[in-house]
Amino acid sequence: MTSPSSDTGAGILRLHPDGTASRGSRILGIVVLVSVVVFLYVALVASAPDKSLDAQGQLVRIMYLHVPSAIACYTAFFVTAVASGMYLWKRTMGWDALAASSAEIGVLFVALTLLTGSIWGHTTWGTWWEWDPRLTSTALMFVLYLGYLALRRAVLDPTSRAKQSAILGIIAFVNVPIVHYSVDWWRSLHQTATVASLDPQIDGLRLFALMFGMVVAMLLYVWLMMHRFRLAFAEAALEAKGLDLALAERRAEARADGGTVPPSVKTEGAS
Amino acid sequence: MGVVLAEASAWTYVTASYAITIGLLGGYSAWVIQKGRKVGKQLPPEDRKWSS
Amino acid sequence: MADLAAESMLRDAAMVVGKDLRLEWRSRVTLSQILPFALLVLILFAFALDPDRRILEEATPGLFWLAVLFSMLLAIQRAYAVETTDGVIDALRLSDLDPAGIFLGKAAGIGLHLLVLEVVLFIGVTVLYGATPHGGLLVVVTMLLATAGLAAAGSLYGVLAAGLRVRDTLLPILMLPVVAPVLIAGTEAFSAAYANSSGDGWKWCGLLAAFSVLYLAIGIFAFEPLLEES
Repeated sequence: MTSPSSDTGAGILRLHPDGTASRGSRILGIVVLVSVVVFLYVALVASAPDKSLDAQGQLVRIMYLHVPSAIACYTAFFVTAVASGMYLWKRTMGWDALAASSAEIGVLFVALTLLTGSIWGHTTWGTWWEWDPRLTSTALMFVLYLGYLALRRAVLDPTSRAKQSAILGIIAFVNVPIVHYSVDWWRSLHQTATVASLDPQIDGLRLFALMFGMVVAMLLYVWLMMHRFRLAFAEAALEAKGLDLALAERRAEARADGGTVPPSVKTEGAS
Repeated sequence: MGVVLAEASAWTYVTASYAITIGLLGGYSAWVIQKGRKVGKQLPPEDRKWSS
Repeated sequence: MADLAAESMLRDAAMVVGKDLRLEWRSRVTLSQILPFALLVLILFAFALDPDRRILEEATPGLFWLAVLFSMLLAIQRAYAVETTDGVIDALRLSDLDPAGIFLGKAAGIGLHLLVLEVVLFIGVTVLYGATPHGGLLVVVTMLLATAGLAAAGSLYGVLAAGLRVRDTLLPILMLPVVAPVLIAGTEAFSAAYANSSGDGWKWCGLLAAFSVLYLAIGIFAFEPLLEES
């Protein structure tokens, strides 16, 4: 812990010199790991299967994954919307990196929400999909944010990309409640027989498992954000440096050739 | 016997869910860490403001 | 002061719509390409669903709005394709036109094209699917409100995608989740109208109205920064 060049810690706190880790993220990472282990124990072993009237038996354990994933994804997209707003206000690239990272992690959690929801549904409904209102809205949200990520890939200029994604990041989040409301209303009209709800009525250790799952999901989200944000930041810095380097080289070439140095030309966006 | 079979298939689904979740999250985490190191290597240390 | 700003915005909007309509009149792209496409979609639905089992008639409300949505994508692409050729969009940016006015003008243009498409599609489903329309007022109001929402959202997302090389594949994936509520509401309202039980239908029109107002408001504010970047 007292090495001269860089204080990279010792033992479990030893950080990779090139990586995006820091003391804080390492400690958080250890906390996350421990929490995950505890969670798995509580979710899979300690808590008893659901033996209530509309019993789901062991299947309620899937809920301990599904609900926390949903919480995490909504949080992620909310953060994207706020960070997008902050970018439009402050115009610093850090906010853009935050928005983008959160969206990416959010999409991951949505995918998990859909997968666990579908698996749970298959056991109860007998099919891999029923047009359950929450799952349907979630599916739309998934595509919505895939679109956000697609837009980011399509725009080359960093400032332009940041501005356009920021606007989209806010509008996309505004759409979420609209979509939810419409789909809910729509399904409430067409619900045929009682479709077993994705909201388990549970208590005791099972409720604790669910709640703890949410806590673990949020901790994991934060840890992933720390690394993903730093990665995005580093990539942006690299991009800027690479651009500066290329321009400097070009000017050096021009001078060496004895010709005139061309004025700085902003790289064209995709068009 | 039927109950045991039902329980067995339920556990398959539970296991599948947990495996997929851990797999996706673990895989993504690994990717972010790896990519972070790769990019960090190309960046001079003063640009990495987080390693104390 | 605000009146003056609103007046110039509407005047600029009128100028943009006029330009787009004149362009359409001369090139007839919507008439000769998008309209046939819409009818083609109706025909393809018949191939996909069994025409003898009255599925088409029962599904008419939904199929109608699906055909509208698919045609809408083409209409939006077209509305901005005319701007992105030959640096016209730079001229638009540099002109003195109020960006909010440009947004409204573009939306109005898209909306008018959509209305024409919808009228033809309505005749189409009545003839091809044998659906007998009741509740005329509800049908008309639904069409107007839904179109307003689609046009506003389309104008906004259209400018976002306009400057990109991948606009043709990006626009659908951006737009369709956003207008899913319009599809739901439009279908439900039409179903109510066709079943002659208009009560619920008007509530869905309320949703359409709220959607339109929301996107018109968003567009008025968000169009300028998006236009700058396109």
